[in-house]
Amino acid sequence: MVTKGIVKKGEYFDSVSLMMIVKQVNQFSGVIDSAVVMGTPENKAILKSSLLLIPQFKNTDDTDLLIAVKAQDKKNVEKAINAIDKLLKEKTQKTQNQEQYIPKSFEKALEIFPKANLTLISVSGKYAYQEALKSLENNIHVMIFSDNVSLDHEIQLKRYALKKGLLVMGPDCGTAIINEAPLGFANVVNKGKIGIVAASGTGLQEVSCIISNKGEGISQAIGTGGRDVKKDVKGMMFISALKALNTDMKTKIITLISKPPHEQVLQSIMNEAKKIKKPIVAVFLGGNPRILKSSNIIFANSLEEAGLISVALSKGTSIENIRKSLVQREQNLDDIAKREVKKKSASQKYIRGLYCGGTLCDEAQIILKDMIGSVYSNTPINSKYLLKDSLKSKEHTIIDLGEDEFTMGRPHPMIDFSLRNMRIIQEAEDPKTAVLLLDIVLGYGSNPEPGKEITPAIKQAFHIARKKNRHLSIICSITGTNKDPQNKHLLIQSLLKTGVLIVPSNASASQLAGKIIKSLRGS
Amino acid sequence: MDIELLGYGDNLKPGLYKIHSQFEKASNFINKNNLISLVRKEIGNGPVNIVIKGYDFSRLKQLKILDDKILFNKEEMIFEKNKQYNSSIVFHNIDIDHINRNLIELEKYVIKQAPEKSYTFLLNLKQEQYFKSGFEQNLIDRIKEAWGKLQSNHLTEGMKLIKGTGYGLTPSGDDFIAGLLSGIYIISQIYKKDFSSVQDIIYKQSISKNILSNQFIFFARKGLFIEKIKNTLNALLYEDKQTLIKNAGPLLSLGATSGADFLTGFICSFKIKW
Repeated sequence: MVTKGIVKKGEYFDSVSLMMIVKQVNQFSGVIDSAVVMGTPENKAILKSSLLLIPQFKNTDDTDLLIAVKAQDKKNVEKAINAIDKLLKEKTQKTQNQEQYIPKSFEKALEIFPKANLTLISVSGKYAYQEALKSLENNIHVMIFSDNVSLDHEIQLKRYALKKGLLVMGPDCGTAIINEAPLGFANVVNKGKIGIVAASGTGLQEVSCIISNKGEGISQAIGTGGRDVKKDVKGMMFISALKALNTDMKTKIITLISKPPHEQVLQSIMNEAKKIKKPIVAVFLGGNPRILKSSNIIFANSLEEAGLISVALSKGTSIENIRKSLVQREQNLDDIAKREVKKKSASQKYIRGLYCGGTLCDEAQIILKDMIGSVYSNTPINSKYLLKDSLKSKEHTIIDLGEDEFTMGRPHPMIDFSLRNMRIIQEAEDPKTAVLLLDIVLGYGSNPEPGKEITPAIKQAFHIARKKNRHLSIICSITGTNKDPQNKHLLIQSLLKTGVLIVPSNASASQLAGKIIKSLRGS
Repeated sequence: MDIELLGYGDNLKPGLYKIHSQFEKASNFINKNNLISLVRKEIGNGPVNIVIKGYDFSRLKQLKILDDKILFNKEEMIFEKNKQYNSSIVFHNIDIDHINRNLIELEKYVIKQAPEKSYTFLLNLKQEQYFKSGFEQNLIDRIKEAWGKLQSNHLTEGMKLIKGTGYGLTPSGDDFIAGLLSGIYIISQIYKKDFSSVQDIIYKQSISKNILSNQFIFFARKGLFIEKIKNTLNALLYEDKQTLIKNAGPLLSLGATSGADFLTGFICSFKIKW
């Protein structure tokens, strides 16, 4: 074992940067222990008891940054130290770099880049309206990633945008793909001829990935924000986007994704659809197929089905066969369910879903409702099943960890798995938990190493259950493509090794979970 | 865009200040043991903060504070009375039961949302699992020992164990102490009791060479707070649960763990019989 260190004197690094370095250091190969701390006498005392206090730290003081690494051998320790030093130097360089000008306002940004035709806004909600208005006044489309924009402001912006023939995607629009440019949390998908309009971020991601994974591709994917299809906003952007895809040369098939729109909005969508010759597929999660009875829109029962039907239309193959194959696949899940049930203990009876995608959470609830009855949630589809305390599951529970109550003051769970990992352990400790249902969403903006982050928690969950002679079924769907920055193949392999059941979609994950519970009830 | 002074603190000391440290949204300047900070709107007001809009102060090396204005490069900004930030809390119509109920909610929220490597393991044992390395395990052992000392009123020993410990530019232990002192201040006000001797002991043991920590602790001792803390404390004292959580969120996201460490210290102060 070798211990080495460096001292940074007279340089100040913000805590967030230091914490990121701490996290990275411990993941370097061969590193046994490390510390990146200010040189206070107290920290040095802890370094000493950890055998990390090297001689060059002795004459340092509170204002010096100490970096110590203990590794298996000289090669690994020097590699780690050099990497940390490089990170710190880059941080210093970035602060000192006088040449790099980052504009601090929309006006300055436009000066530098006058040809911009889209603004992506991610400021606090109360400021987003003004910034969006500036964009529209300058004839620039807008994507509002921010949430907490008032309804009045949303309506004003969209009315103004309509007058000018511009798009306002959002507010709370997390995902879009415009002319192959991924915006926000988007996946790397094939180029193709299927255009999407979505009032649902992870819905858009799930469908676009399914389409891409089946060899077809996306022309455009326009997000509208969840409120757009409700009564007050009247589907202004949803319909505007539908019109845009109708005239878009690259788009040959149109796919619509949302929860059921308000009936007046739905009627407007259907009226618009009648003018469109391109085939249109729609998944209105939780909606009744009869609502589209008199329209030319093809109804899909799930996000997966919407994706697969769109692919069939693109390839010119049979939609009926798609529906039949999904039914067949659902039946095949019975065998897996029965195998899982055989190993369960008497106490185990509930599903606990821990989601980072809001639409995926909704879809799971909708599917499970038909199979096993309503489930509790912090975002329940039936308000009677609102969890009193979203920190504590009750009976069957599906949680959306991306809701505000969990994300205030911390990164979204698609980026930071720590809250979900804690909850995985908590649910595993509950003797009544039979099934853990998880989604992992890949793509730009999402956690770069999901396997590394989630696998330890999953292993611990299995271990906790095994110790108490329980068998935990952990079912996971992965929303992503093989082209995404995360290595999807490796992720699947590492999860399979731990014993996780990997399924091709959120719909099939929910179905499998439901079948296990039904089998448990039957036995 | 025009330069605008959005707010300034009520504890600015006149003098010539030289650059101490610079970050993306804040620059700190020092004159002997006095620190002032030029900050962006997102950082907010504080006893010694000057909130500026429309000026890139990342290259500024010195500035001068006079009684009625601030001077830097060729700029002069007058301190308008209506823009002065009042860093103290007004106590009125205290409802102890309401505060206690809010404290419970605050603790739940902090436990739920705290970053992994904050000292919130003192409120939630499960968080210890995130302290994995040898250094980190020694760290939590030390902090737990410190907490034991504080609970049994061995203040000097407790402070010696906790001050200056942990991660961050302002180490977690110092942020915890600032929270502790803030809590004692609030307790003394709402119960109308004098804990100045306790505060003095804690304060004296906490001072170090880290001027950023010293300042944070100094103002906590005096009951003077930055905007995010003041908003949270006002909500704790007077508002409903939703408002409390809404204000605690931005505080919790302060630094990597500073906000969480502060809130942990604050909550812990209510668990000790001073």
